[in-house]
Parts: sequence; structure tokens; C-alpha cells
Amino acid sequence: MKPPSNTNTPLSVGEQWTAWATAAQAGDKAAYNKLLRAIAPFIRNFIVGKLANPDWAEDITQEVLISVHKSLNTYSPDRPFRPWLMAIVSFRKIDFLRKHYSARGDKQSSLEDPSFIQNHVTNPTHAGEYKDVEKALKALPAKQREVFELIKIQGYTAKEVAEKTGMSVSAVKVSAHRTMVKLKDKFG
Amino acid sequence: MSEPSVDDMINSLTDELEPVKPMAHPMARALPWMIGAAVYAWFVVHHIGLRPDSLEKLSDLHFLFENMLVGLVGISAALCACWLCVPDMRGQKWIIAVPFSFLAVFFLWGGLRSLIEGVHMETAHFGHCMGDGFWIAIVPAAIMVFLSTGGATTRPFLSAFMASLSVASFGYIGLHFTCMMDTVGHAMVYHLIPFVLLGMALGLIARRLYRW
Repeated sequence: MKPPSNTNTPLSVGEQWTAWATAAQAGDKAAYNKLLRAIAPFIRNFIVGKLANPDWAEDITQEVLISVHKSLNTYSPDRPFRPWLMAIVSFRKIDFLRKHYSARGDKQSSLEDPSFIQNHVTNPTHAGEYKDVEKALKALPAKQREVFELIKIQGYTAKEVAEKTGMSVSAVKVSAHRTMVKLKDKFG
Repeated sequence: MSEPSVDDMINSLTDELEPVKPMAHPMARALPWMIGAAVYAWFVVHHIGLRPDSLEKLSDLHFLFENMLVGLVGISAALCACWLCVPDMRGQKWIIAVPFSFLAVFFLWGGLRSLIEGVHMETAHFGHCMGDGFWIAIVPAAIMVFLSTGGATTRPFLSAFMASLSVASFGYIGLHFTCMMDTVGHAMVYHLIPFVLLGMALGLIARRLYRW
């Protein structure tokens, strides 16, 4: 898609980016600066809602900007700029998350760690609901809460919980189930 | 607006900007490779020695069909490898389906042949075929790896696979003209082993190889 030659016609955002990218390939630093300043918030806003930690958006945005810089020669001026950019954004986002999870960065915090929610809960805006669940759990009888936490949060089997608490396996299952029903009723 | 760190980076990247020549169209990159690989393979095959019945084989429809099919796999894989050098594949992701479709037909063809003719996995010329395959494919493989790593792929494993597939196809056709064993077992297993190994090696290092 070539940018329109008539400069009096206002360009759409996509056309403007295409024009700037084409000028940047020719070495126009001003156009390149404008392009990077225009796409940086776009990239950030696009990915921030898809990440567990909003700080990652900053890191990924920087990686995308570097990638755009390194691969500017692969952009073809006869094509729109945005699909080319989005392919890079998607690639860098997946690459970042792959590295994060393969380094088991998501396994290195405990539930007691206050930064856990900030860094690892998919949507931090739900942190308030998490607190509500915690509050509801605290309101349960100690034994019932212990069984529920062991089986549903810490991932023990009913048999293991039964051995740990001295209850029968069926009593453990019934207790966990009743707690779950109670919580569901509470939170709709 | 952006954080100061992003601002700093933008200023730094702007300072570093040099004029760049847009990468040639993928077709313009793939075509010279295909012609070069075919010419090179032809010279190597002549140097190794054409199979004695090669002229007769040129009138064998099954032989011609198989080579044409493998040729289509190779051409489409080479095109796909070059298209993959562009992050968004120029919006033509359907190209990926083409080599896979031809490859599926090739395996179907091999399956039918093995049902009708039997597999017959002779190993007599294994070492000889492996060596010949190596010489037929080494230069096109090196150039293809150079070509495909020259871009900015967002699919490193697929790029490695397409590069291997394109080289394997040219090597397979070349070996058809040097080796007289046309049985399915020999041709589809022993002729392809070096290329499968090449593909596995490229796959193992794909992320590093195609890093940008």
C-alpha cells in the first residue's frame, strides 16, 4: 500500500505509519522517531491486558522496538505497516512469556508472598476478589478450612489429606465439596 | 505517553538509524536459489555418474510423476522458506499449506507404491547414497540456511523445516538420477535419512539459528 501522493489529504493512522516506515528505510531519522513514538504506546496498550504483570508490557514494548529496528529492512513499502508490526509484537510477546515460564519464574513465589498476585495472577484487577475468597476461607471452621486448603489450593489428594488430618477419605471429600458449594453460594 | 526508559530507547534507536535497502521480494530471493540448486545438483549428479538406465527412466511415467511431485515439494518449500523471512509473511500465510499438501501427496504416493510393489528396504548402496546425497545437497543447504536466516522469521521451527524440506527435495531428485534402486524402502528411507538428520539438527538449533 503506497502512501497517497496528495499531501493535502489527511492520512489515516495506518497510512501515516506506512509513510514514516518507508521514510525511515531511506534514513529519515525524524520520521523514524515519530514512528517509534507512535507505535510504542500502541504496542504497550495492545499487550498490557494480555499479561499477568503490567511491568512486562514495558519490557516487551522495548523488545519490539529493538526488533523493529533490527528488521526494518524486511518491511516492504508496498504492504501496510500494521500487520508487519503485529506479527513482531505477537512473536516477541510469546517469546517473552516462553522464556519467563521456561525459567519457571511463575513457580518461584508462594501464595503467602504478597507480590504473588501482582506478578502471577492473570488479571491483577481481580486481586480484590482473591482477597474476598481469603476472607471467606478465614471465616470457615479451622478443620474445614485446613481440608479445603490442602485439597483445593495445595493440591494434595483426598487420601493424603485424610492421612494428614486423621479423617476418613470420604469425610475429606465431603468436607471439601461442602466448602466449595458454600463458597460458590457466597460468590454466586 | 511512554516511560522514560522507552523514550531513551527511542532516542537511541533513532540515533542509530542508517538507511536500509528493503529486502527483495521472497520470490526474487527464492528463484535464484532454485535455479542455482538445480544447476549445481545437475553438475554433481554428472560428476558422480548418471545411472545407466537414466534415458529409459525419462520415459517411465511413475518415475517422472514422483520426481515432479518431489520437485513441487522442493519449489514450494523454498518459496515458503523465503516468505517466512518476512515477519507477517506478506499476509500470505496460506503459502504454508502448499508444501504440506504436496508432501502429503508424496507420502500417499509412497504408501500406495509400498502396498503395490512392497517396501524392499535394500541397504546395499546405503553408504554410497548417503555420500552422494551429501554432495548434492551441501551447497544448496548452506545457501538456503544463509538465505532463510537473513530475514526476520517469527516461526523459527517452520523456517528450519521448510529449509530442510527444500534441500531434501532437490537431493532426493538428484539421488534418483545416480542410484538405480527405486524401491520405496530404499528411496524413501535411505535416501531421505541424511536430510531427516539435517532437518532434526536445524530444528534443534532453530531458535538460536533464526534469532534476530
